[in-house]
Amino acid sequence: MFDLTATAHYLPQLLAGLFTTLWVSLTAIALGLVMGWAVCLGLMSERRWLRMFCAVYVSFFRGTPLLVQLVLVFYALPSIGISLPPLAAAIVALTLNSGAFQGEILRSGFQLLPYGQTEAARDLGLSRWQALIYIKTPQVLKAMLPALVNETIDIIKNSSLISAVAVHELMRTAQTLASTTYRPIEFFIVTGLLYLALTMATGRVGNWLEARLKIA
Amino acid sequence: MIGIGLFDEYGGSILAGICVTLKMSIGGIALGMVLGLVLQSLYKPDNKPFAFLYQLYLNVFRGTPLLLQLFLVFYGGPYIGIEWTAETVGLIGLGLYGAAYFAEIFRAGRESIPQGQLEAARDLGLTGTQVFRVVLWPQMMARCVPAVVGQTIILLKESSVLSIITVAELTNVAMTIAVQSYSMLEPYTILALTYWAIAIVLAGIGSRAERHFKNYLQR
Amino acid sequence: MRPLYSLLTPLLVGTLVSFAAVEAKADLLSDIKGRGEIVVATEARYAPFEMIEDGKIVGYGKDLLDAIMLDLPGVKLKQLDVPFQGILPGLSSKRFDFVATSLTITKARAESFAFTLPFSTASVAVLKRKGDARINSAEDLIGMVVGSQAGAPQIDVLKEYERTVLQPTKNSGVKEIKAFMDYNEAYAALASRRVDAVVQSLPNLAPLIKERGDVFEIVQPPFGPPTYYAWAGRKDADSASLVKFFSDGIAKLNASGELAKLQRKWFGFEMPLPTDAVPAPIN
Repeated sequence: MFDLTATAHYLPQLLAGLFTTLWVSLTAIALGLVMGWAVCLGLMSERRWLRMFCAVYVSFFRGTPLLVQLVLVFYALPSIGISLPPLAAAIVALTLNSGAFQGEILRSGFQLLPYGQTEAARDLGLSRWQALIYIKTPQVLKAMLPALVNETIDIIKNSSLISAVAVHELMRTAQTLASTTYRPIEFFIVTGLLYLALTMATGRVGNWLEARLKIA
Repeated sequence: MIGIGLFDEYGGSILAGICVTLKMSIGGIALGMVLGLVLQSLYKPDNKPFAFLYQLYLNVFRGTPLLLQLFLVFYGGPYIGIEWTAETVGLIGLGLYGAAYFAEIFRAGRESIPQGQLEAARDLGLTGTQVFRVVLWPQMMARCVPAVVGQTIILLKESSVLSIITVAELTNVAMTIAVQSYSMLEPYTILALTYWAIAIVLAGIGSRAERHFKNYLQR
Repeated sequence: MRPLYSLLTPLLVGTLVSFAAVEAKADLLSDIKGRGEIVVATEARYAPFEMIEDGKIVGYGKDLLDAIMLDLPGVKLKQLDVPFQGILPGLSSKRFDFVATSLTITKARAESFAFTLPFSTASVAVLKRKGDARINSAEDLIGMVVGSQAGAPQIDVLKEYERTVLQPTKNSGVKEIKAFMDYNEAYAALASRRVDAVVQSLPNLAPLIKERGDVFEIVQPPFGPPTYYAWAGRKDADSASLVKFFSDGIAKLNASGELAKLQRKWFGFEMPLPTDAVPAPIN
C-alpha cells in the first residue's frame, strides 16, 4: 500500500511548486526587510503620529492571521481601485506581514545599542543618517540575524497559504496530487521533506552567515 | 457602517465561530504547553539519543507548515487506522505544533537560571518538588512570559488554518458567509478585527502576567 | 526630493486619467477589447469541467472557453485558479471580469448575477464507497455523514430533499454535513472513511468512476430537481454585452454540434440542454 516511489513520477511538478514557494518567500523577505527597517525607524521617530501609525500597522499585521490578510489584499483592495494580479497580491501580503515582524525585530535590536555610540558618531562628524546607515544598522542586522533567519523560515511555511489567492505553490501542488492519486500519506510526506529541506537549508545559511559575520 | 447588516443576519454563527476558535486555541495551546514542558524537562544535553530525538521533533514540527501536518493526519491518518474527527485532529495538531515552540521557550528560560541556585536550594534541604515549585518555576515563568504570550498569539492566529480541514471555527464561518453573501470585504474585515481584538486582549493579559512574575526577579 | 516629485507627478496624473478613462467607458466587453485582456476566475478543482493537469487548467469548461475566445481575437485570456469561496465574492467586487467555472443555476445566485445559457446538466446524485451495502438510494442517507463543498448548491439540494422527503416520510435526516474546501478533498475524505457519502452532480461523477471505479460507486438515480451548470457575469448594465457574448458562444457551439463532441470527449455521453433561454433556477 504505502509506496513512496509512486510520487517519483510527479517530482518535477512538486519541484516546480517548491521553486515558486522559494522565490515568492525570498522576495517577500527581502522587501519585508526594507519595509521593516522603515517601520522600525517610524516606531523610534520623534513624531507622535508617525509612531502611532507604525505601531497600529505592526499590531494589526502581527495580530491577525495571514490567511485573512491575503484575502483582504486580493479581494478588498479592488474596491478602492487597486487590483493586483495573484502573484503580486501574494508578495504584497507576505511583505506587509513580514515587514511588521521584521520591524519589531529590528526595533529590539536598536534598543540594545549603547546610547553613547550615537554621540560618538556625531562627534566624529557623521550626520544622523550616516550614523544610522554606516554605524547602527549593520550592527543591528548582525545582532538580530538569528531572529531574521527564524522569520524567513516562518515566511516559507506561511507561504503555504497563498493558493488562497490563486498562486500555485508547493502546498497547492501537493494537495492536487494527493487528492487525485489517493495517496495523501506519500505526497504529504514527500512535500514535508521538501519543506524541511528548504527550512533546514535556510537555517544552515543563517549559521554560516553568523559565523562569517563574527570574524568580520 | 461595515458589517452591521451582516451581524443582523449572521451574528449567531459568528459568535459560534468565535467560541470554536477560542475552544480550539485554548485547548491546543494548553496541550502544547504541557507537552512542551514535558519535552524540555526530558531534554538533557548529555543524553545523546534523546537530544537527537528532541532536535528531530523540533525540526520536523517547526520546519514544515502546520497546514501540511494537519493534512497528513486528516487525510492520511485513516489509511493507517487513525480516524479522529476534524476537531480532534485540529486540537492535537495545534498541540504538537505548539509544543515544539514552547519546549524551546521553556528550555531557554530554564537555562537562564544559574545552576548554583538550584544546588544551594537543595543544600538548604528543599526536596526536588519544592525546588521546582519555589525556585525554578516562578523564575522560569518570569523569564518566559513575553515569549509565551507571543507564541500564544501566534497559535491563536494559526488556528485559522483549521478552517481548511472543515473545523467550523471563525475563519470557516467567514468563508461560508462570503459564499452566501457574495462579499469578501465585510466578513473578512469582521474576521480581521475579531482576531486583532483577541490578540490585543491577550497581549494585555501578558503584560500583566509579566509584571506579576517580575516581582520574583527583583532583588 | 525634487527628482522624486518630478517622477511621481506624471505617474499620479496618469493614474487619475486612466481611472477617469475606465469610469467613462460603460461597456465591459469593449473595455476588454480595448485593454486586450480578460480576467476570468475558475475553480480548477472540479473535474472534468475544470482541473489542473501538469500545472495547466484543462477540462470540458476550458475547451469550451477556448473555443468561444476564438471570437475575441487579440484578447489575452487571463484565467485565475481561485478557491470556490472567492469566486462569486470576487466577481461582485470586480476582482474578475467573468466567472468561467461550473455554477449551478440557483435562485439566490440568479438574483445577484447574470447567468449564461447552460452547458451541462447538474442533477445531484449520491457517491459512496464501492460495495457499501448500507446505501442503496438517497433515502439511505439517513443517519449518515455526508461530504460536500463549502457553499455548494448540492448541499441545498440535499437539505431540501431532507426537508421535503426524508423528514415527512421517515421523520429523520442525515447525521451531519461536512463542508470541504473543494470536492477533491471530499472524495479523498470518502475514500479515507471520513464521510459515508458525497453528494455531487452526476456529470462530475461519471469520469471519477471511470478512473476510480475500484474505490467509488454512484447510487442511481439522481435525486432532487433537474439542475444545470452555467457561467456567470455581473448583473449590471456594463456586463450585459459580455454575458451575452459568452451565452451566444455556447448557443453557437451547441448548434454546430461542437458541444456534443466535447461532451462525448469529457463525459462519455451527450446531454440535452435548453437552448432558447436560461432555465428556471432552483431554490
